[in-house]
Amino acid sequence: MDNLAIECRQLTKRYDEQSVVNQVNLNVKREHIYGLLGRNGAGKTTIMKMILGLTAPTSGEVLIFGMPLQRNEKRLYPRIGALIEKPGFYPNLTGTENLEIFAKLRGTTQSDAVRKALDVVGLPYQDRKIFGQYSMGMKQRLGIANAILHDPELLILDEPTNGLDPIGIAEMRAFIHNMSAQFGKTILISSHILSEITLLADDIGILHNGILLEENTIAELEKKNRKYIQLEVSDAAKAVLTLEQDFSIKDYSVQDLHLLHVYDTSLDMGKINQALIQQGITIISAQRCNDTLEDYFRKVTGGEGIA
Amino acid sequence: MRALLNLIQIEFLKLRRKKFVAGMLFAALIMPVIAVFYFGMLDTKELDPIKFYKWATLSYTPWILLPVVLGVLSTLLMYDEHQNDMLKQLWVVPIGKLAYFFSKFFVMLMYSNVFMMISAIGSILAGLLSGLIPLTAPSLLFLFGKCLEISLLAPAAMLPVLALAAAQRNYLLPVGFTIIYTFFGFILLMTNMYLHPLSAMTAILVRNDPVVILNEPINTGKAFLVLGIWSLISTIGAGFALRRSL
Amino acid sequence: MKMRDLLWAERRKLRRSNILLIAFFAVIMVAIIVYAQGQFSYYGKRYVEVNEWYMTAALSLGSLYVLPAIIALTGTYIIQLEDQSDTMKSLAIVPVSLPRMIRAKWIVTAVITLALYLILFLITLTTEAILHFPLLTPSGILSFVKQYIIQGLSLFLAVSPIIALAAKMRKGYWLAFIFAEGYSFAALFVGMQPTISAVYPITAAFHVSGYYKTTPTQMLLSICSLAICGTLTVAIFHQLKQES
Ligand SMILES: Nc1ncnc2c1ncn2[C@@H]1O[C@H](COP(=O)(O)OP(=O)(O)OP(=O)(O)O)[C@@H](O)[C@H]1O
Ligand SMILES: [Mg+2]
Repeated sequence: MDNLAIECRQLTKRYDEQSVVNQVNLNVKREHIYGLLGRNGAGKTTIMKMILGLTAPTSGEVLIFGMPLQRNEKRLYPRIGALIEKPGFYPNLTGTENLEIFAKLRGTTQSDAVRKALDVVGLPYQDRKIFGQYSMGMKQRLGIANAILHDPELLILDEPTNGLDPIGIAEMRAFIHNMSAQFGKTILISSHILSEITLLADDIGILHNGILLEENTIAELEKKNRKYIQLEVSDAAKAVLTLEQDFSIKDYSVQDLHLLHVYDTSLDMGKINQALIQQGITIISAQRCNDTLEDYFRKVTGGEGIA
Repeated sequence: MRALLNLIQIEFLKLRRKKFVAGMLFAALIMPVIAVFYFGMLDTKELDPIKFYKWATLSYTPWILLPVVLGVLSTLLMYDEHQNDMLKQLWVVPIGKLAYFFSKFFVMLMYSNVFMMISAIGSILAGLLSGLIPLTAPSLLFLFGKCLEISLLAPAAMLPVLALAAAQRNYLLPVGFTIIYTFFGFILLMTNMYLHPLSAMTAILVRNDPVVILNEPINTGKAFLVLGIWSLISTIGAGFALRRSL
Repeated sequence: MKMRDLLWAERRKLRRSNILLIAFFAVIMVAIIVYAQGQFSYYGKRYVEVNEWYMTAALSLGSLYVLPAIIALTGTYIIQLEDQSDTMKSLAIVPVSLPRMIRAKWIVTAVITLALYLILFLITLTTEAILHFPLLTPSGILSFVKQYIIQGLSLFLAVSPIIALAAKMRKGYWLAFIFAEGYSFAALFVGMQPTISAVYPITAAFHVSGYYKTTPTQMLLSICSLAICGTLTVAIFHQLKQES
């Protein structure tokens, strides 16, 4: 329990009668990067808002570093940095001026905290440009800068690469990776882009229509990302028998009456063909396949897929 | 022309679910209610209905209440589209800048019409129910005639605010300006009626009123000229501002 | 978090925003417009030629027609900054307490109101000095300073509940200004009845500042009325805590 930075228990949010987040048990381990994956409207932002106490759960609870946020605000908030949806700032102030307000309100003592944070995200410190004139990517960067301004242990980032150009995305990835690897920060990051998450996260949660379908380590998930031979035959049950007896194959799965996946790809297809035909099984097709995480997600989300 | 009609129709669609726009109509009833108390306190015998109507509908309402309400309305009409960055989407439809401006003006016309009708009916009811005045045909004719004049002239007099609202992203300037502008028009009633559209409007309204005594007879042509010049300046200004709004 | 920091932040948030400029402009315009009215002649004598007419008229006309709405506009503008810029979610996790922040905003509005009245005072005093310098006396000036300051602060209290209600409803903030305008407009007629005029907050401000001739009872009523406005405002702000 001690090694959890965030623990959600049966977290549920309903708007009117509609369940937007449904009994989610989400656990973020300390010093891990946790990727929350889900399509538009899956409920990622809502979960993050509930974790941060920005919206009240209908039921269930959240523990941050083992404590409920309520009545621990003064202790917990300074340890958290967050970027939720599009970051809001005062449009009439420059980025520096905006951050100075937050630094002051947080009671930041470090005098160059603002400059450092801007440095990290690659925004200029002495700039006349006001936030209202920022481009989308600059706004996003300023949001990140505000999240890391007070050097928090836990970062909660809602689609941080939103609006960034490809180079910006790569930089952001390197930045997040660095925050975790070098500074041991815990990071909860949401995204609807699978590849982005797989490149970064240690753990992954898949959210679909408000339900956390799967929560696992990337390593565990990647095992499912395997090569196999797909056999389409007249009678899958009979074919399995042959494969087990003649080739002692154990690692297979029956997809339906006619479809088989065999995970040992070193097999001699010629011999298998022969054996099956001898048993009176017609082979309709045989092909080598590559099951990706994407296919896997498509399966768990009931065919809709992720990105 | 068809396009303009469409635009006007769309303007009214945009006002759906804006309770505040309808809510501001209540301001039309402020003076009728106050008039009942005022004349009730004075305890005058045989109150002339026209005198009552002048007080309850034709004085402070067109001088202050209606202008402020129209100023807020014109800001409301422009504000959302500015705020949500929708103008750039409208221009690529494409929609003409002046047609856009006129469709807003037309909404103001309709609105001020409804406002004055409510005020007139409110005055009649307030006067009758309180027993202060009898119902007479000439007074009704006078009341509705003046209300119609007001509802046509007031939106024209408020065009500078609409133009300012078209030029500004923020609501602060048009709204702040509305107060000053209305106050100025009201104060100038006493000193010079031919500078400010709102006081020019009042000049037109009281042109043949025997009760109003002024140093010099009212020059309606001059008053219309003032109104016209300011309307023209406002429209041209709004055209420029909207062209720059990308 | 210290109140001082909150006040500092509020002041910082107003940079480059033109609300202060607009409020300032409104005050200048009040001075100009009232001067224009002073050109009206009554039995051959222009109003402005009457000693102290200008300073009195600017204070009363401004306080009746323009400044309550401007105070409401300023107050609600300052209060809605977070909603408009969507910064509340970032502030909430600082954490900044909403009621305290709103109170800071309220104080800033009071200071701005005071500044506006002092500016109006300086303009009218200068004009008055140009018009009839020999008639100015130190005690006269002092009593005007007092009147302007008290009028400003009282009017601020009278308008405060409207600002507080706008903060509570959390939308269409700026529309509060039209309520403030109606509220001060009604004072024109409320003033006709002595007791009501002592109780009605806008006219109460005139009683407290000494603009109206006032009996001790009326004075007491007016002070109570304004105190209730202040209390009501604080109570509404306090309620925000439970909601946030
Ligand atoms: N205030 C609200 N009232 C009603 N429904 C809401 C509200 N906020 C969010 N929802 C609904 O909750 C669902 C989840 O929204 P949420 O913003 O959490 O999705 P998301 O996973 O962050 O999506 P995206 O990838 O688009 O950011 C959506 O169907 C949305 O319509
Ligand atoms: Mg989201």
